[in-house]
Amino acid sequence: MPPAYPLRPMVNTALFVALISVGAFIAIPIGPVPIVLQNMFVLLAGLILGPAWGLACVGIYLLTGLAGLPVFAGGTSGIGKLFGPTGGYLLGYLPAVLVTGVLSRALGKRLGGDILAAVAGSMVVYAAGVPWLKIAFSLSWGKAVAAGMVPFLLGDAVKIAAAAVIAGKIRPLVKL
Amino acid sequence: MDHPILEIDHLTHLFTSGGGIQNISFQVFPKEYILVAGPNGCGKTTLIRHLNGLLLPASGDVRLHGKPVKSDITTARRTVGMVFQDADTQIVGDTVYDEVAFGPENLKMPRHIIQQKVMQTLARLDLSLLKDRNPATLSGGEKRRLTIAGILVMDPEIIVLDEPFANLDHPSSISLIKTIQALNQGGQTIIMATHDLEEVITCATRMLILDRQGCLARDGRPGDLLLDLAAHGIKEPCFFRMGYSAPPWQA
Amino acid sequence: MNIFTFHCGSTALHRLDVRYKTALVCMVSLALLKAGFAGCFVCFLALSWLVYATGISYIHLAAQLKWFILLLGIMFIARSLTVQGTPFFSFFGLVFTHEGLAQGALVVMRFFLVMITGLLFSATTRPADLKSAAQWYLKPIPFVPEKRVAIMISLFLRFLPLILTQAQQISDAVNARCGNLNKNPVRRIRYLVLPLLKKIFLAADSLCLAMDARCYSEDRTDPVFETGKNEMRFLGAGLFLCLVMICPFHIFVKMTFWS
Ligand SMILES: Nc1ncnc2c1ncn2[C@@H]1O[C@H](COP(=O)(O)OP(=O)(O)OP(=O)(O)O)[C@@H](O)[C@H]1O
Ligand SMILES: [Mg+2]
Repeated sequence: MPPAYPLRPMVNTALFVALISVGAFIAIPIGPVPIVLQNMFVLLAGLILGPAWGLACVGIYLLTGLAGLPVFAGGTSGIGKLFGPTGGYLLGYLPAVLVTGVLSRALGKRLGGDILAAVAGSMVVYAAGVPWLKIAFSLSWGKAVAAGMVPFLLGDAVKIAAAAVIAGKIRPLVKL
Repeated sequence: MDHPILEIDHLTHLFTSGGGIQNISFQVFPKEYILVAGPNGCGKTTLIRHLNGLLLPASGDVRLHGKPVKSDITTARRTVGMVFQDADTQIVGDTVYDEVAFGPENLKMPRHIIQQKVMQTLARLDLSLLKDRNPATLSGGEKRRLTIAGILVMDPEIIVLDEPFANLDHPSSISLIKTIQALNQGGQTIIMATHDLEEVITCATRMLILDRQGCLARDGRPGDLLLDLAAHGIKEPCFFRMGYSAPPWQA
Repeated sequence: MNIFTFHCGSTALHRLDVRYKTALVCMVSLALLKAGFAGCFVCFLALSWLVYATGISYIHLAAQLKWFILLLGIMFIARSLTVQGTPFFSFFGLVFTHEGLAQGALVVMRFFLVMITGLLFSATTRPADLKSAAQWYLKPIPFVPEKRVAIMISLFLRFLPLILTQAQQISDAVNARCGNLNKNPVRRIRYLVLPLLKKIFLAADSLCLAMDARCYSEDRTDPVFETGKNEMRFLGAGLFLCLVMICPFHIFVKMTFWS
């Protein structure tokens, strides 16, 4: 027998890397600001793939961007973007997917638990992104939060709800 | 008579949900061109997946050169190359070249041999000019040829094709048939599952008909089985239905 | 989104070993974070020449970057307004400061040059080569299965077009049944994403089978790189460029003018 490789989780993870990249370009117009689905796919990666493969997923996404594939928002890439003013949000995806994955598993992969896990994950993204933004642009805390967090909260609530619902429906179909 | 490459011996595999194959026995000899015909859901795909160990028999045996397939899966997969029904979801590489190189890389062939083999195979299937293209941008017929190239490059003894004409237009089907026929005439053993016999039936040397229960109903020369097709829910080739005489049998 | 911005060609930049190319891009991007006006100008000249030498048309480039340039304009104005300092001129009560204009111009230049560097890179590099470079760079890092990562990058590149076409088809199908009139945003996301995920997970299933059928193994042939003299030349030139860029020219300038 050949050695067994974790082929299925690998393929599923690669799939989520692609979803996260494409997520920057799938916009759904809700109210005045269209919301972009990228961070929702990060949360979904945590919910569906679990912490370990979720982390691998975000890691590979960042790696491909770092290596120069235009997968970051607006078709950008590179080390300048990753460590630029908005880089905190991107790097924040790493702990976020981990937190979401761990919490959702600990809370038994039910709707309520998934919502909680997704909320925690989103907060982690801001916890990384906002201070980074503040330092990069030398803003006050108030301004950093007003520019880098408040405008997105409503969209995030929608995305968290959607992610939890979708995770519940998709999990039975995904063989890991 | 040559030794058979594959021996399928009282193979049974039933799914709990119903469907599957029962008690199938036949042998595959070198240079044969075998059609596996049958209506939708009769178990053609199930049967074929046993030939390289993607499915393992519930009872019965599949032997490759006398040894059970499951005793050496890697050899079985390399000897029995498989082209799946849906071209879009079996392409792994992100360029045509890489797609063809995927198999040899898995076998850890040295790089210069891979280079040589891939270029040869691409030329053989008329894909050389598309070497750097993304497979997603190819036409249906080109994708099909690419999937064949992807297994041909591993020098399989048998090539198994599952519904190769799905989603192909008429000219692409004809050109694919020519490609496959050329491979067969070059000594390649072919097994093809299909429910559309129209064009291929005259090229094949042998035909197996599965019935709705997943049993092997007929096994013989295609020309001799024409009368049995309708009874097993398979569309007969046009020339036969219209009462014309058959075009020249090519095999 | 067009990730396949790769233009076929055989210029020196196209042929450059992808490992050196990624290293060079990283170096230049990092140097740009520290570069002053003079450094940015030198970099601009170097990049313009490379763009010219690669045969990418400037007009095509500008067209691709038009939204980005607009964004840069907004950033420039915002900067010049928010930074405190000596007023330069005022406009309808808005005060543009000296320091603000200078800082804004610098930040905008840096961003622009980083963007051009990235574009130049993706225009001359096959995505397939990138995964080989990633594998090579990850090799010395412990606990990272670099071959597995390389395969996953390859699969990711493979899935991108599939997902894009599926997403388009599904959104068309939803809109054809007036799904876009649905007021509930959660439901709208669900109608788009759920069928998309179902479809592509099915595709993932058959892809697994196909990989199995072709003897997938992680003990596989390593990628090869072609390295010649050119690589060293480029590396030397890149290092020199970066040093020039981060060289604090303004100190020399000040010394000559003020001492
Ligand atoms: N993994 C599975 N689990 C349960 N049932 C299955 C599975 N795979 C196939 N079947 C069932 O076995 C039967 C035979 O399926 P199979 O795909 O082999 O038919 P087929 O002849 O290839 O059909 P088609 O012409 O549509 O390709 C079908 O009824 C199918 O529902
Ligand atoms: Mg089938």
